[in-house]
Amino acid sequence: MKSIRNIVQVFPITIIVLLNYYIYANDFSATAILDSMLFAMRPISSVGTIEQQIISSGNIKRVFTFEYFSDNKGENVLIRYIEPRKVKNNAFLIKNSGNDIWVYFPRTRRVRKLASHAKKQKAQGSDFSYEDFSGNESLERDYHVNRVESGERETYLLIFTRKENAGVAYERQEIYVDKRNYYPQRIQYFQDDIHIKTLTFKDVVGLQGFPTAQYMIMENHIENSKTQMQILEMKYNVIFEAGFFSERNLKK
Amino acid sequence: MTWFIFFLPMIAAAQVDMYGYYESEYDYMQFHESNYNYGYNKLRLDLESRPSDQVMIAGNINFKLYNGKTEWDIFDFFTIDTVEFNGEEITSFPISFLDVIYLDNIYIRTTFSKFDLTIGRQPLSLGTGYAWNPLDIFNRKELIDPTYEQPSINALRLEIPLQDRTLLDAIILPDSTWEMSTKMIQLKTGLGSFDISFNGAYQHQLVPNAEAGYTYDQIYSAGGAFVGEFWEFGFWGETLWPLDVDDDFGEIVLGTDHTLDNGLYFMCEYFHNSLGADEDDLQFDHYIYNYSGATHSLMKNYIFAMGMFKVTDYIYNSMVVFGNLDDKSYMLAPQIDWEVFEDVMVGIWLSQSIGDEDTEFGIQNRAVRFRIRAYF
Repeated sequence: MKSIRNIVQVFPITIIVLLNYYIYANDFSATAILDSMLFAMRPISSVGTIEQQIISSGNIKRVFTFEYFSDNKGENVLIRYIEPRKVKNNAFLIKNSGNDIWVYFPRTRRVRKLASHAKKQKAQGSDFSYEDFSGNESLERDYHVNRVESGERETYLLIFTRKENAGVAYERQEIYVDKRNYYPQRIQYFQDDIHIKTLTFKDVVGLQGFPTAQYMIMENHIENSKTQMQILEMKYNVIFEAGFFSERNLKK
Repeated sequence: MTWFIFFLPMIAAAQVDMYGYYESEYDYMQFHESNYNYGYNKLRLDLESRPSDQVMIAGNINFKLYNGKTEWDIFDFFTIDTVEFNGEEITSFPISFLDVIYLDNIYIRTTFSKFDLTIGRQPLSLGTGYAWNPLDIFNRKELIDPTYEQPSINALRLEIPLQDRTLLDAIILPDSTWEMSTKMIQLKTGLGSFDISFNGAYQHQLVPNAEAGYTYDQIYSAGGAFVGEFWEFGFWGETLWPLDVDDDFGEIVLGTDHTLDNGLYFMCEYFHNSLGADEDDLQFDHYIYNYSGATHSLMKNYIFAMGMFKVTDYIYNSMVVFGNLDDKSYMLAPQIDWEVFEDVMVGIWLSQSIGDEDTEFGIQNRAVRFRIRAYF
């Protein structure tokens, strides 16, 4: 009876030790971690309202609010601004993971297709570019991925190096992935070997089974500015009607 | 105002979103060795209501009060001093800017499962060009400020989505008779990274005439537009050519743009209008046709180029150059746009002409424009 009690006492400790080993010591490949991260980050579709605070290097704050619609794991994204009045109903549609961008200006009711070089431009003056808004498919398509030691107990570090002739703005991305949920803790962006931006994910909560950062903060180290995006509302796995991600709906 | 009275009960009955802007502009211009000050204060009040998901009613009322010099003689802006009309020599053509209250947009947009229908005075903006739009037979742009909102057009517009990136667009501008009404049909689709459109138009248009020089006639035109990219450079083009006129004429625009990694954006556009005047055959009529919007330019060949970069937080600097390649006159226009607050924009634009005094842009010497706009 005593031996059974001992086993019962030791069993949880054994489980914790094994889990600990599984979480911290198992040497996953870079590809396996990337797959897990993309699975955690990419619900099929989502609808939400997001508040965006831009804080400039001169500590001047601008607040924007927009509706966010995403489909096909971020391949198609539609963003429509609600506030401030200056940009009310301005909208942009991003398809094919950022390769096709259309912008809509309500005062002229004109839709304009932007060339892909425009994806490097700041979206509404924020520290996020149009490319940052598009899905993460390009991580698999346009970059070579390697895993290196992060030097941190709770994260994996994946290094993404741009493939030759890939049409993406960042030369290198370093993603620190949380070992507990495979959600990124932060992403560091490099151009010409200079660390230009860092995106930090904060207050990660589970929402419909998907880890969701309530706050995403993009710091621009070149301009000393930062943009914080706060999720006000978010719903996953929404079914959109056919033609939702189209020029017609952009004008609505 | 009739449209507004018609729609007013519907706007009043529905929950109306009201917004708009206040705009004040001050201009200083130096030409013909004289200095002039002029400007305006404008209030635009937008009303928008969505009684249901399928219906949107929108309109706006504008109040515009002019100040400074409001009486002009348009001959001052021409390179010709006199014109003979019915045997009489005319040396001046005065125009006045009077304070106005006007209804610009007032339209209803209904969304059906297979198509969208928009009826009323509505913004219409066609084409892919930045400074010129040959396909836009409804509007004319100012080169110093090509993105400024254009007056709305009384029209009926039917938009039928056919496939994911394919849209059939039919526009009719009603006139006194069906024959006189302007019609435009556009089929827009996607081809790889390109958007392309095919257009057909039927309109009362200025055409060359062997005896009178120019006359108006009902004609069919065909054209198209594209926008896309090669090697990270954006490319676009647009054209419209009459089909049944003996003297071949038409308009074409070609443009390119690029953004460097440091955020510096630059673009360039070339425009050809074969209906424009030759340099050695510039007449009073050409000015009138150009100012009235019958043609999109005074002469035949033009260029527009712009470079834009961020100076500091919320301050953008642009350098705009545009010019007439035929008479070799150009305008150099550095511009600063400052987003003072979330909803307040300030713009300061300078312009300096380059070219002889008797050329299209050379005649204007230099100018300064200050504009503030506050949205509410």
